[in-house]
Amino acid sequence: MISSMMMGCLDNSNQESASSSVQADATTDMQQADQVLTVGAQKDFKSAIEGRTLIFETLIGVDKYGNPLPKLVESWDLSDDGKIYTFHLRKDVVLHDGTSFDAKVAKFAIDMSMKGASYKDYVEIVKIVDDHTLSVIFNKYYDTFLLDLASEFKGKVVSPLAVEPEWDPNGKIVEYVGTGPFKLVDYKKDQEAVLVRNDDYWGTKPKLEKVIWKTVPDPYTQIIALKAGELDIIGVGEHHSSIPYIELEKLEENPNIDVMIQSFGRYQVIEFNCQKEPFTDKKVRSAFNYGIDRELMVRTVFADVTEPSYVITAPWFKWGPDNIKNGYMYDPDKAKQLLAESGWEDNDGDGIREKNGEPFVCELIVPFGEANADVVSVFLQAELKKLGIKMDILTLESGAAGDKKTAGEYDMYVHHSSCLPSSGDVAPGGKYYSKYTTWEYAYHSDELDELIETAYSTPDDVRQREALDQAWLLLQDEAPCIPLYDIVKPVAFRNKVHGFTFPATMFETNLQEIEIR
Amino acid sequence: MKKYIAKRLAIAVIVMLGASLLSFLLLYFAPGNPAHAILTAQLGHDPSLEEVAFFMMKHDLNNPFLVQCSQWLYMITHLNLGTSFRTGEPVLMEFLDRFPATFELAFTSMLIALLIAIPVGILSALKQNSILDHSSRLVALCGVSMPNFWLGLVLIMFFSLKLGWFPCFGYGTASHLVLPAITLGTGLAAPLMRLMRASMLEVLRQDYIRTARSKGLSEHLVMWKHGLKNALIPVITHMGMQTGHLLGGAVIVETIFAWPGVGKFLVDGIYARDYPVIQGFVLVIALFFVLSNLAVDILYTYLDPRIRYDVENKK
Repeated sequence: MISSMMMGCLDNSNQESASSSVQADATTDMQQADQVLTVGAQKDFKSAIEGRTLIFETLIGVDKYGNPLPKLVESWDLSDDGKIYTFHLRKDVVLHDGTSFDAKVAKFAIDMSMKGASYKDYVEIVKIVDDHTLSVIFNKYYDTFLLDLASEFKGKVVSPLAVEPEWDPNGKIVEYVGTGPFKLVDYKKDQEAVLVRNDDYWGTKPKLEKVIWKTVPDPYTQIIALKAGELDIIGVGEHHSSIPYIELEKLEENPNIDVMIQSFGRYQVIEFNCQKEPFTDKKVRSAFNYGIDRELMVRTVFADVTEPSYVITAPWFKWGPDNIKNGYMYDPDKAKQLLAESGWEDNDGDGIREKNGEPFVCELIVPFGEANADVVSVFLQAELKKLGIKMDILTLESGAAGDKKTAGEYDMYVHHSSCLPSSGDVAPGGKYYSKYTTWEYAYHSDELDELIETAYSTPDDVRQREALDQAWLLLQDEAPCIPLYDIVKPVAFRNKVHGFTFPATMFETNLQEIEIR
Repeated sequence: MKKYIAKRLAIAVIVMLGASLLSFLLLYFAPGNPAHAILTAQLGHDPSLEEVAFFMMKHDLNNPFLVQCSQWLYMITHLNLGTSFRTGEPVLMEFLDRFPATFELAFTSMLIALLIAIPVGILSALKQNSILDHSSRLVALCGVSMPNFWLGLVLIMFFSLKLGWFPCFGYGTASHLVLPAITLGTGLAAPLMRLMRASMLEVLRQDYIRTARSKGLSEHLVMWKHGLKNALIPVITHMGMQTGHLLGGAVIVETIFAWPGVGKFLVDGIYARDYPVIQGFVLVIALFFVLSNLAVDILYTYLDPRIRYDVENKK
């Protein structure tokens, strides 16, 4: 807060000095010819998924809705029983070290990624059919396989020669050699990575000649450096963006800086412990959902930077709840009525409801570092007080908070919904599926498990949609969480940077269209 | 003296092992799981149970506490600090790659602190209750009260953004060093300045100073030879402790100025429960503490000839 006040003071007193403008202009002119982009990112290049996607590509791509797209795999066939995927690989791809991308390299990529991935238990064999065709044979249909292969962590293509020992899927990546639009030429830990254009890139060749990834952990230093012209673009190197929402208005006012904001369908949510009183009661959970004025929250806390969320996850995802017509719109009367129906009434007039002589007091756990969670939790506290509920806030270091979650020692927990390329909360491995989840105390039911299993055990899109529609209806009715707002991703760049576009997922970085002018 | 140094170095080994083991113990029993923390950071979402299980198996984290301890002890005795869970790189390399930056910042900021604190502290003592003394007290109070993150950002805004004199962040040239060293040095100088003043005042009241003056020694000689040398002892003690802290990294300054030192990497390691990094870094940092305090003890003998570590043996 102090930092943002200081930033405000500076903005009010003087936008930028003449000297820094001169410096920035000089930098602009110099870089115009060179097509060099300096990216400011909180994480070291090799620690950031977003950075690595400039070097490593995945076999499969994905659009913003969750539909798999051809990438290094040009096309694929799925057998009628849904157990055999046959991948037809691109023939014009060369890795940065000159190795040709073929079925052996693709098999190596799958073998390497499979070690820690959920699909390993379902894969019987990965078979090379010919130089550019590969089959993956499953023991049962595994619906989210293509999405897994669209994830940098679970499906990236690495040169087998850049692994030690070479060609060993259990080996360690010692060089960053992939097929991506940029090649890594220099790297200094916690300082910078220098990437140059891959002139042999199979896709649209980048206009940029060089990208310098600078590690700048502090978001306010990033903003000052962007204003001073030391950085060209910020917010792009983190999936939740380094730019605090509160700074966006001032950045937008700066004549040298442009801001773009994108939704990736990830919502901040409050998860209930559905196995603990009083949140075992559906009416109580629904009352919380109807009793929070999300419009007011977004307007007052985030200056309308983002949108409120009334359903559990983005409805426009392929598997999303687009069948839910009425979300949890603000209705405090309905909330109060639901609480009264559950037996929670304020009988002693102290402003707090009671049931069986016990006041309605609950606790919200805020894991340290969860974006915007501090201001959101204070807003929630005020909103719930209007309903006659006392909510305490407990901020814990993320490891300690995680342990409380695992042990079920929480009433409510600040978290976020899944987003691409993960296959969502209503999927095997998702929050509400009881068999594989790390959210043991979230909402679970046999009926929901059955619907999830039906949805994800069939290659038939129509059957899958039917089962998902039912699952979403059930979940919306059960109110397992409080969806709050869309965690949009802002990116700010100097106005010499042209052509920036957001990729399909918040974990990718797309610099291909950028040009320095 | 040599025997004394050898004895202290032997104790250092025990201190290092003890500190490292204690840090592991605290974190092992503290809430949080390295698999969950590291995978969440790497994946960008909650890991599945399979992913957690694979991570635990890969890093031998399912072993009982005593087995993990003995594995670590075995590695240490073979001069192996292990491999970071997060980066997959040897811990020693992770430390050595970052230590030059930490050393550079620690050395420069300590130098700045001394250049400010010692002359101002002496002058304040000599001109007690003068305007200079009151001003230096006010400056010291400000120095202690200003948090590093605030001062750092203010310096960046004025000297980088407004005047364009220094870069906002980064490492590599002398100009990169100026702002972080001033930020850190100012904070260090303030208490040192007060300590120097108080110690000098204390010494000036001693009988041997009166004796020196009564012998007719010049005021200059009294101050510098008899006064300052004795007054420096508590200052040096404080500096020794601070040096140990500085060599362990300055997390806030490193974060604000994107300074690639050991402090931020260690703190990130603590959040991620990266046990090998925590144990390894604490081990080496404990060594720095021991060495800097040993250096202080040796310095004492030069400042005050009455201090002798080998007296007992001679008897």
